[in-house]
Amino acid sequence: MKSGYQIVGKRVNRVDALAKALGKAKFTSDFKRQDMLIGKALFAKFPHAIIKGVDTAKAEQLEGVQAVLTAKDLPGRNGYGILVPDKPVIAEKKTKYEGDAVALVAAVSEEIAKKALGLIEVEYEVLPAYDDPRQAMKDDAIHIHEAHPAADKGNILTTVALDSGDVEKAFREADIIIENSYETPMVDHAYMETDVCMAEPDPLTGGLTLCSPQQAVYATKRCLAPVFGIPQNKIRTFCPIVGGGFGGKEDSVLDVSAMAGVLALKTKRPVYFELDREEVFRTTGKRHATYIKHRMAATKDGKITAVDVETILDKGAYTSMGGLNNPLMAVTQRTAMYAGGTYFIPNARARSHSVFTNHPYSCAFRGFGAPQAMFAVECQIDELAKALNMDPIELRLKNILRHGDRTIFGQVMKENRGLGLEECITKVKGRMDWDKSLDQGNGPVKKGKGIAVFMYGTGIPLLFEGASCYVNLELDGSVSVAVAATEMGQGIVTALTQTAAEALGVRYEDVNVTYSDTATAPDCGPTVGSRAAVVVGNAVLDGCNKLRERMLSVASKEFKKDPRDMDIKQGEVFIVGKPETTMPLAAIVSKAFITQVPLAAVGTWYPPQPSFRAEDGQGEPMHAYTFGVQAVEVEVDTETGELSVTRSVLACDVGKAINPSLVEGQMEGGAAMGIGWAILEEGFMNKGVMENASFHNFLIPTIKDLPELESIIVEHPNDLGPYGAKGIGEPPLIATAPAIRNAVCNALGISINTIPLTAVRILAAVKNQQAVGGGN
Amino acid sequence: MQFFTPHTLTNALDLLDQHREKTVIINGGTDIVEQISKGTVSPEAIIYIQDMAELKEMRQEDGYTVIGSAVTYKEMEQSALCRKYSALMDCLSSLGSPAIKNVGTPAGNIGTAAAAGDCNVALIALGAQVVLESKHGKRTIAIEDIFSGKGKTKINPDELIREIKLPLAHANTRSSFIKLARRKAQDIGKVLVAVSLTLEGDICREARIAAGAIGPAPLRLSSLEQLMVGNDIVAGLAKIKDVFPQEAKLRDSRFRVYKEQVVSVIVRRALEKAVGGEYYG
Amino acid sequence: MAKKIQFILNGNTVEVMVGETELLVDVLRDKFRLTGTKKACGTGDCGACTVLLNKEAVRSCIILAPMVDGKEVLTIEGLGDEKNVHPIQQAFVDAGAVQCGYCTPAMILTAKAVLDINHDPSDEEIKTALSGNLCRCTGYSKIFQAVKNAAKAMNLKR
Repeated sequence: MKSGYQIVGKRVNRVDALAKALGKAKFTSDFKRQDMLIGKALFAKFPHAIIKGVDTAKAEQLEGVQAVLTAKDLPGRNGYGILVPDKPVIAEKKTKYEGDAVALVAAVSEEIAKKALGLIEVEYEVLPAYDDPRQAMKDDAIHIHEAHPAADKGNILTTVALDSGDVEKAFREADIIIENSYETPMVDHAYMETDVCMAEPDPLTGGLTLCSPQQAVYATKRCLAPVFGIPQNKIRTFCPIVGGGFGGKEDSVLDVSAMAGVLALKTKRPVYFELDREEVFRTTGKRHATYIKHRMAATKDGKITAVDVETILDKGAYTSMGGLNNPLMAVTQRTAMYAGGTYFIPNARARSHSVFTNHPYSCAFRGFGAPQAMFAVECQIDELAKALNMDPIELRLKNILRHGDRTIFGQVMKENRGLGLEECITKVKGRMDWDKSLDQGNGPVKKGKGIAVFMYGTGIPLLFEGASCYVNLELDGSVSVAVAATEMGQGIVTALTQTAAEALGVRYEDVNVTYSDTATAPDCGPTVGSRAAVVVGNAVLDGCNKLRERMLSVASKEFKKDPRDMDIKQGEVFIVGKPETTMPLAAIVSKAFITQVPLAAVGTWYPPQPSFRAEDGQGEPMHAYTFGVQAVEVEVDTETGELSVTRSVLACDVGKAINPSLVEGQMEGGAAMGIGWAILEEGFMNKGVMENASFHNFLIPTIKDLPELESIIVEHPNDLGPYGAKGIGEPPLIATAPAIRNAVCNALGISINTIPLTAVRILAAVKNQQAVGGGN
Repeated sequence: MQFFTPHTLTNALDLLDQHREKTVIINGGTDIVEQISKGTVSPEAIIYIQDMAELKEMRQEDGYTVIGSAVTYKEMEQSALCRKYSALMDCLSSLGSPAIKNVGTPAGNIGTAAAAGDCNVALIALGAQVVLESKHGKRTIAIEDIFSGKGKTKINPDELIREIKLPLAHANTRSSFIKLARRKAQDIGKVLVAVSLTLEGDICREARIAAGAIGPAPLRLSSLEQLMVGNDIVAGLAKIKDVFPQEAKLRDSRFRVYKEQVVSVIVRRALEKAVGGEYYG
Repeated sequence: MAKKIQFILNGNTVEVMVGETELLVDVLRDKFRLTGTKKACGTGDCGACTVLLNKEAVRSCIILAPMVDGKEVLTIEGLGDEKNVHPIQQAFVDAGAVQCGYCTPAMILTAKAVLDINHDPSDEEIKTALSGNLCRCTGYSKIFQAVKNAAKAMNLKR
């Protein structure tokens, strides 16, 4: 399809790349000033304990200490959270995980602040700590929250239900039933930039300015206003460029901002509060670990007839983005919603229980529950293929959702929203030489290939889903776009620059998109859910279109032509078909300026109202879905259990790639992160204590752990997306882990259902197989 | 707190004699600086020796390759003298990132007695000797005897590692090193094995086998060496296959069972790697 | 207590008072305001604080400031600027190798250290050189490509 676009679809260089490559682009910590106090927290010594007493007297007397705060010294509510305010700024009665602050200190230097922490005496009564939600959800378990504002029962925060069709009947009538249990680990986002906040009281307004890396400037101030006892309009949250977020900085920003903010209010001075890497590991959010029981029913010719899935999520100590009852079901809801994968399955039942433990709170993490759910279902499909002696691709093609098919959550798939899964599968199959078998040789190293597919909705399925922005034409013909979206590496500022330039017909260089700041831009929703390029992009498009119409109307008077016969390209206004008639846009803008035509516009966009019924999990939660396929080749050393991913091909239907280079960046980065989750990363938790809280031993992939990451962009346009786009931030990692697991099974002939597939797990499975006499 | 950058060995030894236990010697600093900045080590004096010319030497002398204690991994990797030792080169190639190799030193690794210290394991297999010097004299100690427990050495507080001596490789000596780690780069080994075999035809006349990360300190596995010595390679390999070394002292950890399963595999592979080119072509 | 040290920083001789156990990364960031050097782990594991010390890549978070006395330090700010972009910096921009940018300065300096001495590195040599620098955004593919492109560009200039 020839687009005819000037800038959209082009591999223009990122607007921020040069400043970053020169080392001049400033992140939050680069704005640290010498006059700032240094804030530090004394975190819980025991992950689950009753606080009997806190003595801060000695710390307060230390020279250079400006404030020592305990729970009784706070200016407002001692609780915050995106969904429910259940996380205290400073723990008062109990500690529930290692990341609970017991006291806060502000001092004139880091050295003094650290020394002061050492002088605070805390008396604890230690309680048994829960690592496993399956234990914590038992009736006799100690309630981690003595009185939680929203929990269903005991340590069970919530249970999300999804029902469609007649599951019992489908299983009764099934030719074949595949039933297995799967486990996925708790992992850290491992963004390179640690969490930090600079909080500064504003004496003029009595308010507070908070500068932090984060993913949602408006959500941050809304969540924290009650903590500070300051109205939302007097809190300014500002977010410079961010050194990676991956979902984590939607929540961790609240922790550092709350602590920095209360210290700043107490001392009436600017406070710099930074977590070191170990603190980031111990205290900030993680990906939900899951324990999944998955049953799948099918006919003997390979049509899936039903799924019945129970998922238990390790919630950690606080709700975060884990999910509550309707409508804020969040991650918990996604595990149910995606329990049937990308397949047409007429009968489904899913129950997802979110259960408190003494782990770091689980929060949003790239994929938001979908990677866990899809891991189980994509392993199940391969098990079914094995049982039916069918090719895994053939089996998938037989069952994938097509135009008019209903998902297990009740949404009817439409080609006009982009349904490119089959094209993705075909392309990956070709690129991988799927039908050619691998040369196994005679050594201990076995080779295998595996595949997995995914779907992932663009945006968030909540009633408020939508975005606003300001677009302003300047008199020189340049354009200012003010958005509160976070640039965290994904390239949103670049994508929105391209979108605005295309829409208004100006050059890429003539658009300036702001970084995220509540003082300059309206709410565009959080930068999460793979939504910004689409939902915020549409708002920008709307604002630009409004201004374009106004300018064409002004121009039509100048040219004495109907506006419909006029166009703007490269900053020049002209009559269509008569390019010699051009006039600079700047001249038209100036004309508008003196003829009382407004140069500013508010751009807005709202998708069709999302729905999701609490009773049965049925609805239309997102307007469009991104689809994709990943295939990998692996080598497994059967004597040492070592696993190498030697090839990776990922195809994604992104609707329209606003900038293919950025899209590939998301695809490659997602595949890499998926490989890390699949083979390497896991938090070693021991009674609530993280034993690998550093990059020494919480290992993420290096360049040597990854194969060349091949990407194939497929474009089935979404008729509601800007230029057809769908979300691509999160989706690329969803199929990685099951593809690798399926490849390992293919290599070894053994099913391993727990990730990460470390050498320890693989060798244990090989030894186990040898012990029971299977295999050779 | 004082920071010294002595320019001569005499000066360094004087300082060491003065400050003794309260001193930390910094060479590359790749391990110790982190501990100082965390506050887990708080010395009264730091003696920084990496730039001292006397400790930077590499030479061949009296049947030994002599490596000064301030010589970095990178300098070793580029040295023709070191290239003769396959185990050493294998070890250097998997040891860490360039930024670590540019400043890290084998002497520093010996000083911290890292149980999973890659180079310690290779040096044991290669029969390295460590020359210690203090204001009061010099002594030489076999590297496997220098470690006295987890993170501990027999180096006296007034002593400095002066140099490391490697016996010149015999024409019929074959050596190798294998590191098994969780990640393919920049990771601490879960099992490290180095071997050095001196052959006469197909018969193994001498064997040195060393391992790391399977005890509180790097170990020499004499019990396995005995299975090789006097045997022909194929017979020795057959004997040693599946034998878990009695010297190993695995602590309780997530990796204990795994280590039990793989140590003998890595030993066998290291032996095969050492002789492989010659014997199985 | 404090100690005066002198070293060449980005081509200029500088003198500064430092604490005996002050880290090089902190001196660069706090005393010289050279914030292109990032501190992301503090344990020498991630590589984001890489600078060149006497032309070799080192981690400034595990180097005490007095250790650089009399030596030469190059940070990203000394490599190029808007008017004089270094070919490696340009290659990173052009290849789409920059995402969040937190690891970027260190990646570029690490690449410079290898490309200055190895004009025609193999794929494996490039990967080995970069293996101590963690990036969570890119999957390294475009970084790898950028370094390959930079090697060619630098050879054309030679």
